[in-house]
Amino acid sequence: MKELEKIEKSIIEQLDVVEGLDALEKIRVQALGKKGLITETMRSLAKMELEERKLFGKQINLLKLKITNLINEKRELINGFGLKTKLKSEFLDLSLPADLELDGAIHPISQVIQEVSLIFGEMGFDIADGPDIEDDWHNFTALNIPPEHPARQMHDTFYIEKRDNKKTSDSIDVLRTHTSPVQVRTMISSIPPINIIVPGRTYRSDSDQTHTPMFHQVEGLVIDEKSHMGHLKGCLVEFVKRFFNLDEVNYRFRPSYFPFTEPSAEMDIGCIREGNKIVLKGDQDWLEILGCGMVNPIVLENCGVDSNKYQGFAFGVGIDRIAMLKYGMPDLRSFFESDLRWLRHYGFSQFDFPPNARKGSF
Amino acid sequence: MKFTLSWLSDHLDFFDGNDDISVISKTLTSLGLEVESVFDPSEKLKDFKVGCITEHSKHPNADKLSICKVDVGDQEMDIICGANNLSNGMKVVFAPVGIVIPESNEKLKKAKIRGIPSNGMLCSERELCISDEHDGIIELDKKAIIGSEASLYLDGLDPVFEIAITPNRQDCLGVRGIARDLSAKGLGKLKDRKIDKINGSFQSPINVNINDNAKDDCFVFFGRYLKNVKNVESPKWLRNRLISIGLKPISALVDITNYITFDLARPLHVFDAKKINGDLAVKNSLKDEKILALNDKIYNLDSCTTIIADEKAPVSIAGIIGGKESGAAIETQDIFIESALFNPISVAKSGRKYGIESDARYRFERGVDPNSAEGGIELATKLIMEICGGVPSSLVKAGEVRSINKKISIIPEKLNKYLGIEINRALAVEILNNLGFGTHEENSEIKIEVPSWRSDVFGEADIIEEIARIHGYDKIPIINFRGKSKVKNSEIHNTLQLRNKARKILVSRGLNECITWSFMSSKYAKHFSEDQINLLNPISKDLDVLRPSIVPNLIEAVRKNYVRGLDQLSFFEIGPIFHEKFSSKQLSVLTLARAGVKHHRSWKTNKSEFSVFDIKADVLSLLRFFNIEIDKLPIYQEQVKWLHPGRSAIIKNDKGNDIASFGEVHPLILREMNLECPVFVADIYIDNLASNSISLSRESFLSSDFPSVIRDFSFVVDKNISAQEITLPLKKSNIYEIKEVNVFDVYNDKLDKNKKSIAISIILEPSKKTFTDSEIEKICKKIIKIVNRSSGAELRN
Repeated sequence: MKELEKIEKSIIEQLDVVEGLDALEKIRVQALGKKGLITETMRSLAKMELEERKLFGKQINLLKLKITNLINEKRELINGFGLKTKLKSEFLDLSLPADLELDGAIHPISQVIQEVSLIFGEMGFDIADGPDIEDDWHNFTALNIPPEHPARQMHDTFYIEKRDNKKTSDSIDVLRTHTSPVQVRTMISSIPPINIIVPGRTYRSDSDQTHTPMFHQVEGLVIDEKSHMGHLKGCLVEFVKRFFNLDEVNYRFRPSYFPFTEPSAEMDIGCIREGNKIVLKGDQDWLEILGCGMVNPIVLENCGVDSNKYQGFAFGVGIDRIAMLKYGMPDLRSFFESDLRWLRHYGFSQFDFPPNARKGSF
Repeated sequence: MKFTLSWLSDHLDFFDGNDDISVISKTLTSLGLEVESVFDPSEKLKDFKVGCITEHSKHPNADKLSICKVDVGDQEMDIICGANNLSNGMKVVFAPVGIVIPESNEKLKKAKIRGIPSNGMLCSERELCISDEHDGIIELDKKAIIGSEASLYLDGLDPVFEIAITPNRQDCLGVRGIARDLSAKGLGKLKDRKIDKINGSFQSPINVNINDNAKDDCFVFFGRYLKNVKNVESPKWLRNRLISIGLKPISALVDITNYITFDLARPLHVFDAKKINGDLAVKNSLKDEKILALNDKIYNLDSCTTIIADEKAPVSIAGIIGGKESGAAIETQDIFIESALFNPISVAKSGRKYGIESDARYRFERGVDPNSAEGGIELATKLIMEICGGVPSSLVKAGEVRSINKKISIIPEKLNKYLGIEINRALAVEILNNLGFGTHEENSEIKIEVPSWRSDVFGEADIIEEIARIHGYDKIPIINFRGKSKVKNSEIHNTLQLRNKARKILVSRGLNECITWSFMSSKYAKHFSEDQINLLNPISKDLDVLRPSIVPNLIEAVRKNYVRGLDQLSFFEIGPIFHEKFSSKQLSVLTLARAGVKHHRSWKTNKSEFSVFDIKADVLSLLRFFNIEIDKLPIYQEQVKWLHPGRSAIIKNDKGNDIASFGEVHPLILREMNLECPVFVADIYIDNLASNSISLSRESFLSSDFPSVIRDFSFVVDKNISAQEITLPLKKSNIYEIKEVNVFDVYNDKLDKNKKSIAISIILEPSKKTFTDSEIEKICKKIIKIVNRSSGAELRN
C-alpha cells in the first residue's frame, strides 16, 4: 500500500510541474504505459491472495482512474493555454474598413413608372406603347386638333426635318407632344373593350424652371359600352390615393378643355405649401395633377370606333410631376442632368421593386 | 383674361351675398373658368388712415410745397405735401411712416424735405394704384371718421380677377360671357343689354368690299363713318377699367375699341377717315406690299395674307393689327369704324406667319360671335358719340352674317349614360336656357339651338359637357372601376419585365440609371451614325438631332461628373435611339458606361481602374440573367464605329443578329468631347433578345456523385490566335466530362516573338464512376488534339 502512495505522490509531483504536451505524454507512458509504474504494479496482483488481491486491485484501479483524470485535466489545461496564445496572436483590428461594394440606383422616373403600372395593372389596365416620332395625323388631327387649331400652338411642337425624295404625302413628322397618339393607334388596331395605360417620353420645345424639352407622361384609355364619368372619377381617385399612399385626399374635378375629350376635366389635389414644400392635405390650395375626360365621339369616329355603341374615358398624368410631388424633388431639370450625387440621393435600390401598392381604397 | 368686380356687375345683378370675392372665385373655377389670381386693392390699403388737415402753410424753402398739420386721430402730424388742392378741414388719405406705398412698392421713410421733417404722406389715387389720377391728393367724404381705415371711403377699389380661358371658350374673352356663365350657375341675373341701332344721317363716303379672293377669309364687314368727333382723354371710369386690367389708356377712340374687345369679346378698329384713299376692301395681299403696323414694326407681306386695303395700300392685317398711318390719333376728326368677321384659320395663319400677338388675333382665331359684328359697331358708335361727339353715317356692309344656328338633339337618358348621374329633363332644359341655348322638346328628345357665340359647341358631347359643367362635376358620383382588358400585348409586358430585370441586375453591379435627352448635338452625333434625323426647330444647336446612340449622352454624363471630381463613374440608360433604318425610326437599347476608379487604394489593396473587361463582365452577367448560355458565346472582335479599333467587340445570337457590343470608346471621340479618362461602353439590343429571356422555367437537375479532377495545360500558340479559339472548341466538344475551362495565364513567349503561352485549367467530372488514371489520360489526349486542331497550339514542354 505504501508503494501505491509513493507512486501516486511521485506522479502528482511530476504533473504539478509539467509543461507542454510532450512532457505530459512522457509522464502518462511512465505511469500508465505498457511498462508504466501502475501497469507494473497491477501485474504483481497475480501473486497475491484472493482477499488481498481484491482489496489491492480496487485501490490500483482507483489510482489508475485518478491519474488518468489528472492527466486529461492537465492536457486540457495545456491545450487551452496554447490555443489562447495562438488566438491572441491572431487579433485583427475590426475597425479597419471593409470593402463595401456600392450598389447603383434606379432612376426615380423608372421607379414611378413601375409604381403607376402596378397600380393601374391591378385595376385591369394593360400597358401599350408607341413611337416617339409621330406623324401629325396621329399626334394632332385624329385627336380632333386640326391644323389651325389654337391647341396646336399650346403644344410647342418639335418638328422633324423631312428627307428629300421621301414620302410624297404631305404628312409632317413631329416628336410626340403627348402620349395620346397611342390612344389612336390602340383604337385602330384593336376592338373594345380597351383598357390601357401608356407610359413614355414626350417632347415640347419649352425649357425653363418648370419645363424641360423632354418629359414623361402616362396616358390612360378606357373604351367599352358603359364606362362613364363616375367611373373616370372613381378610377383616378383610387389611383391618387394609392400612388400617394393617402387614406383621405381632398380633390376636385374642374371643367377644362382638351380637344380629344368632351366633357373634359382637370383633377386638382388639396395641398398646403410650406415654403418650397408641398404637402398633400387640406384644401387651402390646389395642385393640378392630371387632365382627363370622356373620349370625344369625334376621336372615336376618327379611329374607326362606333361612337353610338362605345364610349369611355381617357386621362394623362405628368410622371415627372407626380414623382417630384411624391418624393419631394424640387427641380424638374435635375432629373435629366445625370449628376451622380443626385442619382444616388433620389434613386432607388433594386429592392424597392415592386413598391407598396395596395393601400387606400374607397 | 382680366376683369374687375364692378365690370362684372355691369352685366350681372348679383343675388344677395353672391358678390363676395371668394364665392365668385370658387364658382368661376367650378365652371371651368379657372381663377389664377384675385387682386383686392383694399388689402394693400389697410394701414392707410383718414386724416384731417387742420392747418396748412407754405414751405419756407420751396415754392410748390406746403407744410400741413394733419389730425390723424391720436395725434397731430407735420407733413410736407406738394399738392395744390389743400384746404383746411379737408379729409385726406394719410400714409404713416413705415407702410408700403403701392405705386413705388417701397416703404415710406421719415424724411426731411428742404430742411423740414415730414412724418408721413398724403396720397393721390395714383400713389395708391387706384387710378392714374395725380392732380392733387384724394379728398375723402366730409363724414369720414378721422383715424379710421381710409379704404372704407375710397371709390374705385375694384377687385381684379384673372382667369385662364381654355381655347374653346372665346365667348368668355369678354366680360359678358363670364357673367352669363355665372348667372347660369345661379349667382345672379344676367342684365339685359340691348344695343340700339343708330340711324345715320348721311351716306358713308367710304364704302366696303370683300374681294373674291378673300371671300373665304372674311364673311362680313360692317363700317360706319363719323364726322366731327373730338378725340379726347377717356373719362375716368373708362380709364380705370383699362388700367385695372393692365391696359394703358391712349385716347377715347382707341380706349373704346379696347373696352369693347374685353367687354363683348368683339374686336373693332377705328381708322382716321381722312387718311383713307377711296373705299376699303378685304383682299389678299400682293407680294412685297408693306405695312407699318401700330406696334411700329414694318411687315413685308407675302401674296396670301388677308388684309384690309384702301385704293393705294394696306391699312390693316385683317383681324390682327391696324396700320399706324391710317390709325386714329388725338387730332383725328373724321373716323371710320371697322367691325368684321374673319375666318379663324386665316387669322391664325397670318398671326403665326408674322409672329404678331394681339387681343384681336387672340379672339378671332378662337372664333368671334358672328352676331357681334353689328352689335359691336353700334355699341362703339354710341360710346364714341357720348364721349367724343360726332355725326354718324348709316352703316355700310359687305358680305353676310352666315347663318350659324346649329341644331343638336339629345335624349336625356344619354346624360345619365355618359355622366353616371340622374339629371332630369327639366333641369337640363333650364341649364341650357340659362346659357342662352334655345330648346324645345319633341317626343323623347330635346331639340337644341346653339347660340351664335358658342362656336365651340357642335354635338351631343358638347351639350352634355355644358349641362355637367353648370350642374357641377362635384355631383358626379365616384364609382369603383375595374377594367377587363382584351388587348393582347403580352409582348410589351415582357419588354417591360425584361427592362426592370436589367435595371435590378445593373444596379446590384453598381451602375446608376440615367435618363438623358432623346436629342443631342449633330457635332458629336456624326461619330455615331453616318446620317441622323434632324429637328427642324431644336431648342438649341447642342440638341439639334435625335440621338443615333445613347453612348455620347453617357460620355457627357461621365464628363460632367468627372470634372466635378467624382471618379467612380458607372452609368446606364434604357431608352430609344433613332435612325431611318429602324422600324418606326427607333430602337430600344440598353447602354452602359464605366470610367475611372474601380477600387480606391485601401489598406488591403492598391487602387485599380476600370478596364474593358469590367464592361464585358457587365454584359455577360446581364446576358446570363437573360437565359443566354454565355459560356459558348463567341466574341466577334469587329470594329464598332465609335470604339477603339483594337478594343471593340460584338456578341451575336444564334441567328447572327447583334445582341450586344462593347469596348473602349475611341480616344479621338473622347478628346473631341473634352474627356481625359478612358470610357468603356456597351450597347445591348434588348429587343433582339429572345422571348424566353425572362422565362423562369429550367431544365431538370443532373449531378454527379463522383469526385471531379482538375488538369492544367500550358499551350504555345501563334500570337494572333484568340483565347476563345482554344476554349470554345473544348466547351462545345463532345467530351461531356468537361465542366469548366478557365484561362489562368497568358504571357508572351520569350524565345519566339510570334508566339504566346496560354495556360488553361479544366475541371473534369465523371458521370457514372470515379475516373481511372487511364481514363483521365485518354481525355487529356483528346483535349490536346482538339486544341491543336482548332488553334494549332502545341503543349508546352
